[in-house]
Amino acid sequence: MDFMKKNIKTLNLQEKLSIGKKAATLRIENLSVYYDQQLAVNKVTLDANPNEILALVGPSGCGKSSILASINRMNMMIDDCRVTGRILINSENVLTDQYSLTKLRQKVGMVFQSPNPFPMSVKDNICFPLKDHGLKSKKDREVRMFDVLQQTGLWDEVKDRLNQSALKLSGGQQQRLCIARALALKPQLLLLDEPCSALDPKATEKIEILLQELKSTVTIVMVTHNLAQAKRIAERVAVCWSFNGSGRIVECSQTDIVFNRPASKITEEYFSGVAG
Amino acid sequence: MRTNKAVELMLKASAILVVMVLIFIFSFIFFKSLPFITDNQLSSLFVDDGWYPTTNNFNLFPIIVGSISIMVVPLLLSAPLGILLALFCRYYAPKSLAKVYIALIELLSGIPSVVYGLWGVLVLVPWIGQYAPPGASLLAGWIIIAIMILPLMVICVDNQLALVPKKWLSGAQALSITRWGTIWKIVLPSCISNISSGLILQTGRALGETMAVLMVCGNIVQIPTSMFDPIRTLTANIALEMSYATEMHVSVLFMSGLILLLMTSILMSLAYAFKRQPVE
Ligand SMILES: Nc1ncnc2c1ncn2[C@@H]1O[C@H](COP(=O)(O)OP(=O)(O)OP(=O)(O)O)[C@@H](O)[C@H]1O
Ligand SMILES: [Mg+2]
Repeated sequence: MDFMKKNIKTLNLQEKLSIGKKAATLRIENLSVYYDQQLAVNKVTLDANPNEILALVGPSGCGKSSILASINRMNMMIDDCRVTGRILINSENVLTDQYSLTKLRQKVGMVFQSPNPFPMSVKDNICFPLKDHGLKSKKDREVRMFDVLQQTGLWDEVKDRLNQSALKLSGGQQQRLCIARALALKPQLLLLDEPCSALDPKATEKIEILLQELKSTVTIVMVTHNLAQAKRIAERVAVCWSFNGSGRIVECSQTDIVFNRPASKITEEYFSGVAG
Repeated sequence: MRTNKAVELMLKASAILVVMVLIFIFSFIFFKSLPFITDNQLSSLFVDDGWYPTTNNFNLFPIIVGSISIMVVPLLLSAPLGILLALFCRYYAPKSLAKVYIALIELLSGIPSVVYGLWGVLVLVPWIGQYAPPGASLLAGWIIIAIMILPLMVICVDNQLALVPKKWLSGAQALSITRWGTIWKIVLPSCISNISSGLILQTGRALGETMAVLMVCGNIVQIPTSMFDPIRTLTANIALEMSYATEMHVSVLFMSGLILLLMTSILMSLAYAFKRQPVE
């Protein structure tokens, strides 16, 4: 591909990209999520600052995924799911019908627990969504693909198999491809729901390093069951807990405070393995 | 693995039973058509003067052409329509409407073919007859068969669509990919082989359909030159003549059964060739 010859130029473009856009500010206010009248998330208030990694931890079923999926309105698709409260991205409430879903999902990328590359070539996994979003020029799409593959450290691993099926990649590569795919739309906020739980330690480490690099361009909210992981990479940690089946945030502050001097007894017990 | 002896025995017995029944049917049809195969040359099926069983003229060719044409065109008509309807149901229609819709389609697939035939004889054939007499024709057969297999096709496509991994769809949603983009680039490529396989299997129904075809196609033995010509199919031929056939005639009818079996086997192998393991 001829754009490869212009590596240097592309890199410049990538730098420009990172400078040009700003990571988002996220503020969640009084968020409640109901599944068929059942209150799963109860009046959660939480925020994430630009360029930080916020880790969302807590026992199974406490509503972490529900909170995350409210941010890009994924759970509004589910029948009988009702979301109330406000979610402000750069001070704009995204939970209103006036806020376009396309715009929201361009601004907010999402990565799922099990890697879900599309059943197409590595290249198309990135280029097809761009094309679908109206990026007409093939060259622009390929440049953008090169950028995100570089950014995710995949380029050297896949440059010779761009036209092979993405399903043939290893789990870790697939997950990084999914991150790259999300990045291709130039999001300002990246949501990850247990992105490493299906991966081995080596692949997990690569993703952790990647996320730390990425936070210079996007704000990251990550659900994880792995407390050590939260400790390693998160600026701040939010602890979610289920009270009578409804999730609440019991505490949210700097990582070392949450781990070393937790304000809440629940956090202390959860971290020491007594509860949860 | 631990097994239960009695259950295992029962399973094995039923498996053997099925194979035995199959072998019995195959050999029965084969031995019944053997007199014709040994006495005549098989080529007489294609070179005899025509289909005059009483004078031992057994040219089956027009009837084979009839059977093939009654199968191919309805497939071409209802396969694309079936795919579109299934896509509409699953990805466009509101959930409540889609449910009603699928229920209706399942109901349609349960209507006995003689009822379709009745409608064909009383409504369709006279209607075609107004424009191109006699009315009972290849066209009438196409329409009836296409309508009959359409619900089967929709159900078959819908079953395949249901197997498309949810995580691809949510991945596409999270990227705000258009509905049509998702269908065209993710859904269809991943299941079109299995859809084709299923559709070909359903076509077997058209080949085997007897009653409705018998009622609306006119049953004249000829190679059709237009879609308004009456035709006769292998199945209709057997149904029409078995009651009075004797000696060699009987053997030829079994022979045409054998040909039907062969055609079905070809369809099955085609369907098998298209089939893919679901991803993951
Ligand atoms: N689609 C749904 N329909 C009905 N209830 C749901 C649905 N999704 C989640 N819930 C319920 O909402 C509550 C919170 O679920 P959620 O998936 O958000 O928890 P989680 O913290 O992500 O758990 P895990 O750590 O196991 O992923 C649970 O009680 C769950 O049963
Ligand atoms: Mg979850």
